[in-house]
Amino acid sequence: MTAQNNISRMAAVIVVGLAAIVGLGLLLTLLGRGPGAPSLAVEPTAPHPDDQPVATVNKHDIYYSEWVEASLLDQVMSRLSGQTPPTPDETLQRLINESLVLAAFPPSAHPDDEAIAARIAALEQSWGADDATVQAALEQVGLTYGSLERAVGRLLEVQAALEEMESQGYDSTAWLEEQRSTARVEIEDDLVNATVPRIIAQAQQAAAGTAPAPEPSAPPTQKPQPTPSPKPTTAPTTAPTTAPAAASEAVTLTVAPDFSLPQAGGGTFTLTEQLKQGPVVLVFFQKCG
Amino acid sequence: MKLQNRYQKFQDAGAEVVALAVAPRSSVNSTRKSLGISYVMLSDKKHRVASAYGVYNLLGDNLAAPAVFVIDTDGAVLWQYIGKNPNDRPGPGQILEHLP
Repeated sequence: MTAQNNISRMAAVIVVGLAAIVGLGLLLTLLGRGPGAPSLAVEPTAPHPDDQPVATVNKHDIYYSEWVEASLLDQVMSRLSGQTPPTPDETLQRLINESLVLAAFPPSAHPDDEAIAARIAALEQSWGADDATVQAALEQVGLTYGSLERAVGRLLEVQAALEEMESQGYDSTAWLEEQRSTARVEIEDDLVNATVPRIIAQAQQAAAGTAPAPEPSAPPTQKPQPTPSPKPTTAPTTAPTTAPAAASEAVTLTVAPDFSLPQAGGGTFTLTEQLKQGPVVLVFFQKCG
Repeated sequence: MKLQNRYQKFQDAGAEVVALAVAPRSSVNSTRKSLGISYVMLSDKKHRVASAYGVYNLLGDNLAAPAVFVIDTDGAVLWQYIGKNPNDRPGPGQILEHLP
């Protein structure tokens, strides 16, 4: 029982999104990550660009496609389980943590198909969803059942690694903190920054479409109107909104991602707090002054 | 800033104006003072917010593209305008039309 608890705790730290979904419980603890962000679900990714590393952990590469797939899966599974999905950034941090764990405690064998199928069946039961529902949710974001099987296979490997870590007497949180402070982790910020908005936008399109379950943390009454028609007016209205352009990464948001930033003169500005007092006009200045 | 001149109109409509720039806090604060801006102005130095809204580096300058999002109290984006060049920004009147 104690061992089980410890494993749960460790897994929750590392297997950020999946852990919560799988019912390993506890809040997600991320090492050094910022405030939470939008709750979203997702839609198919555009064709992957060159499959380049988005992060390198010591000498292990985490590929762009791996990250995008993991992000989409996190979104789907969170939606199915009615939980707030992790942000793409958080998913990347989870992959980095998992990579450290798996490198230090490599699994002796890959989980077999039966174990994977059994875990998926248990997940589906906890979601109250059948194969067809899950399949449809996956396809909605351009994933296949195979993506889920791979992810669950990896989850089982990470769990096995955590058990091994436990049996050697390590505390996972302390272990990870130390690893993160000493490991050579390089993140391709440009690639991440260029991709996060796309994942978010695709997520919102799916959420505005046929989302199977409402978001727990967002009002389910979002208006699915990316391009509201302008109000009758005499003033000329030019280009009410920017179409999702193929060349640039400009996207049409339907739900505003929440954020918190320190305010001049102290305190913190949080969008959701401000919205309690009325609508907000968010203005991005290209330059100061 | 033209926005400042019409700020009262936004307040009359019950809306708050929140400006962000991918710039250090010091420059945001000095801009705020020198231009007499009374609405909220935030430093998004690490462009987390600009990235989340999909406006970071759209113009290839490692800054936020000029952009406006009108957000309703339930978090829905009612209207958005993303500039295609540094001077492409909607006027306050145009923004006011899109307030709920």
